[in-house]
Amino acid sequence: MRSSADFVLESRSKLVHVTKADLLVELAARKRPAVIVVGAGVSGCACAAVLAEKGIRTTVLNSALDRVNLPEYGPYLTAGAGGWSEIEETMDALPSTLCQAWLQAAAVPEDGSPMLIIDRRAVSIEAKRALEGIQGLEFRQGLVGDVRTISAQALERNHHHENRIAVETVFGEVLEADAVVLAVGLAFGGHMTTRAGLTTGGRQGEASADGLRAALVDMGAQLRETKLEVGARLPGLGAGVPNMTRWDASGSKAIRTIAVRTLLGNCEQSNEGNEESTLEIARSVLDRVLDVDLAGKSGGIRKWNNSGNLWPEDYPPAPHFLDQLRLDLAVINRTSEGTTVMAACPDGLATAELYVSSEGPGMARATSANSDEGCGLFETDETPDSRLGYTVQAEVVSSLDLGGRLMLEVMTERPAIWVSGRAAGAGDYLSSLRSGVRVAEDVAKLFAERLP
Amino acid sequence: MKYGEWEYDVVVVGGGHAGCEAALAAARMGCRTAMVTLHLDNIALMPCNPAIGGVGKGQLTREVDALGGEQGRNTDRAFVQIKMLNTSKGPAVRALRAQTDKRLYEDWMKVVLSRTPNLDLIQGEAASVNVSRETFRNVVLADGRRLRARALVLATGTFLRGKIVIGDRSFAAGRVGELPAQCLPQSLIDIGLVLERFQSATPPRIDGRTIDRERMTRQEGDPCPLAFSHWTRPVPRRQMLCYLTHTTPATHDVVARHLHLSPLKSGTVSGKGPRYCPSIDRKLINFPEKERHPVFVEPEGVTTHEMYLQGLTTSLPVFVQEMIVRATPGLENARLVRPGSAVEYDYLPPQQLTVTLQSKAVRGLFCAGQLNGTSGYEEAAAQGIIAGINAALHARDEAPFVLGRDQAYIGVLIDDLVTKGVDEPYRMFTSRAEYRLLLRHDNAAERLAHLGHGLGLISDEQMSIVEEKQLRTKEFMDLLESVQIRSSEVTDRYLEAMGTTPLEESQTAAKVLRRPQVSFEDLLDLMSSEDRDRMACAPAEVVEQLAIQARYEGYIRRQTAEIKRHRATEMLPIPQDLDYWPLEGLTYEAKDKLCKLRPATLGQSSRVPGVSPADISVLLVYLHRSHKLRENVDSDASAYVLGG
Repeated sequence: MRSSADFVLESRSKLVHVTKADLLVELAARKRPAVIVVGAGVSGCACAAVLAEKGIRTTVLNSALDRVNLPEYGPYLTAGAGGWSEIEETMDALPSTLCQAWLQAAAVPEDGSPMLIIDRRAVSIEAKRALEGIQGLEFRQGLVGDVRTISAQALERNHHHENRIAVETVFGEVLEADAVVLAVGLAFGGHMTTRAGLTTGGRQGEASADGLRAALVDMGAQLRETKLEVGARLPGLGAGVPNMTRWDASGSKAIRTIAVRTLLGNCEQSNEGNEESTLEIARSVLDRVLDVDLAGKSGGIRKWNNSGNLWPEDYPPAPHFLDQLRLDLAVINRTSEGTTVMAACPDGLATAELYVSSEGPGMARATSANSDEGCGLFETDETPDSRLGYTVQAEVVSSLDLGGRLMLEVMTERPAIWVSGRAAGAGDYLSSLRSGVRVAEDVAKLFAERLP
Repeated sequence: MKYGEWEYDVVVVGGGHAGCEAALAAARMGCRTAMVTLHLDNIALMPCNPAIGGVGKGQLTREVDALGGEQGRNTDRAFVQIKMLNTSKGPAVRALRAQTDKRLYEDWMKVVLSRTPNLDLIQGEAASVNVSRETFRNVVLADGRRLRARALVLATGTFLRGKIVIGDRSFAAGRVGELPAQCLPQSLIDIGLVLERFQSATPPRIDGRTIDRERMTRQEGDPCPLAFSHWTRPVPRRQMLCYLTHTTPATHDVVARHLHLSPLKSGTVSGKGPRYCPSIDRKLINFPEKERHPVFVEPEGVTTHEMYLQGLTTSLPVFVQEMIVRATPGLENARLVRPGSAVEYDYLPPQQLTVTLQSKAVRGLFCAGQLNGTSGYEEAAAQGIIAGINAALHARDEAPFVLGRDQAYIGVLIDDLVTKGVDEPYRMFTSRAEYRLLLRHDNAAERLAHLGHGLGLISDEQMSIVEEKQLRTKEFMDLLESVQIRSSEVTDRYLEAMGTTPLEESQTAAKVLRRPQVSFEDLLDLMSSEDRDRMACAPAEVVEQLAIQARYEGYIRRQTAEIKRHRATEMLPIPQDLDYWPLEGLTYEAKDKLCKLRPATLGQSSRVPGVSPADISVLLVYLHRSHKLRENVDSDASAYVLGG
């Protein structure tokens, strides 16, 4: 006798070899709300992680899956007036594995300034691993070209008699969900200004999300302009930065101190002569930094560990380069015509690049095209910047409610669109993280009755 | 100096496998070098297969390593599985292949690049290449910065007017999610280069947690420690598993029913694709009689569940891809993470280059990698290191560095490219090499390290390790020649048990080892105890050489003699300004082809399509005569024997 379940099994190629029990699981899962998070940046990842932890089926849609949770605009998180407690609270709100990914990739300044210096590559790799480990969270490669609602009537299979929302990718795929979170960063009408002129896109080498922006505008969303200055990257210690004075240990606290992690052996090789003292300072600072315990947070910054469930425990001799590297710190400061100029932040373990902060007292490192004087300040006859500083101008969605949900006059019923992170006006990474968490909580509230 | 201008010896455009090797080689040779790439977070990416090596390709990687390149060493750092292929076959076709953690591979390459003196890494888009008097002058980035240099290496991969195609959709991208280089192609055309279109494709990636491993065959790595680099000490490492499954008629049915949606059929893809790494759509078109094709499911790294489906390359619409994957045993519930896609891009037909990979139209402009119409990270790295070396030598006004077909697979690769051109993305095979018994992966360092050392890319210490091995091999080989295996009843019984014939009389150990049934260990058993004690201390890598040298001695000798015989004509230089048209006896076609291609040597001329042996005889006589006139040296034309 053939049951209807058998028929369903056969009718869907996806389920051809599944047992009836599997089908029940599948059907049960289908009752759960599904949310698509567009964008796998800092905010999108935080949002997706929280959503999935709450039992929502979450798909993270991003065009470059090797650039998940990669802080594009600089390798550090700074706290505002909130100081360390702001950092702690933000990290605390993240699911533990994602929090650990962040903290394991972080170092803190020697003078205790409330900031986390982040190894961008490490946090990207570890966060993707953390997210892949959360039940119900899936990654999907795709670039969103359109977003639209599908009315309940138009849907053949609809378990809840509600409208759904569809996003269409440039691959020609249409993905359906109960809600969509747009965490697209500065991709709406984004363009970057360097000294030489404009390039389009919100991130170097990536296209802006024109199709998605147009769809939002058509729906009645309101946008406003925003602007972000991104510092340049210097070639770093190894290459030698002319005009840059090494930090003198006695200069100390007023100057923000910087952590530079390098391959110890190679660092010694490339740090010949007068740079030796830098290394010595680095080592002494290292010990102190490692004593800073971020309020006993999970994971902590004490060690790089590979406690993730995927990494084979006895993977000798620990080929993951993080294990072979030691944390070294170097502190740099420089002056230019009597002004104290902020110095640089390491861009990660695998590189010698130093990110030049555009914040701090006496900031002379202008990064926008408008300032000829500041541009190229560190560029010398010998060495060009590894990455030029630039200004990103883009639009952010302004018609949002407090939960981050898009307010539309024409569509107040479900499905809903939320916006999180920089696209919702967040100005830095910490606010992006918080925004992602807040949106996830708001979304979950809406689907509370359908959650396990 | 004007602001915004910098002076380099060598500028490399591109940060892929070719660009990295080129930049490292030039910088390590002491040239002030800049590597320009679109994004400094995207260095040495593996956008297709997360693997290095394989038959033909593994030889290239070993050769790159022997010249002081990074690919082999970097693979040793980042591999998650490694195995020797074709161990049951002859040494010429044996090769290493490794699965890598691709993120780790990128990270390590960036560590190495970042720590290399003389090398600046610059993020930017190369927008225009400026040339005057047929000589490269400078390259201008889209951000306005100008980099002057003596030499430029272009290693732009698939980024020149790159276009990704899936089903009926296409969009501009060098890799998925990355914008292509839009300005550079026009600039290259403006300076006299010719560009054409090629196409390549990649399979979908799936979530490793949604596959049924029980229904697939486990593919393990070799338990014994192995390494690509001659100078890596192999250590045992826990390895990840790959899995093997096969397509079924059901898979093929899905493809067949949707073939009309394939970009190959609908014409969305216009460029020519790789014959040797065909998409599943193309496989079905080309081999309709085959009932199944293998599909290898390979891990993309230790920090991700994503897996690569080698054998299911396709650019059909995503929903069809999903059906294809799920019709394959073990993948019924597989969830797609990244859809497969095709990429179409501009390549530079490589006949525009000389054997140094320098452009014939523009002095000081070198090209390497996928830009030259090849496929594969290994082929890219091989061209990269040669282009980097020659760019450095050019910058220093020194004589170029060229590897012959008889010296290395790299020589075969480049000679094939620049002489015959390509009509599809070029991939290396052992069958492309005439002297493959000599060009083995196991003797790459012995063949090439001294050349790398001469260029300053191999340290004295590294060289002494190679020399030590050569010395030891010779020592033990001499010993094998001197040790006699006595014919006795015990020996004969032993030999018969191994399936070979008894000794008629006493023979040298070397001669006995020549028998394919007799391993080195067997040979030790046959020796007297004192001989055994002397031989048993031979290190493993020396034993490998002894076995190969003894067993293939005749073939190797023959090939070596052949090379020696051919080398004089093969390497006979042809003046670059030679006017072929007045030469009597050359066919019109030969004149036309030779004029266009301007081969550097007589050997290269003989491989130009459309040039016959008769044409080569005419050329030989002419070259010999003019050579004699010029040099006023008495030489004998009969000394030259025609090759091929």
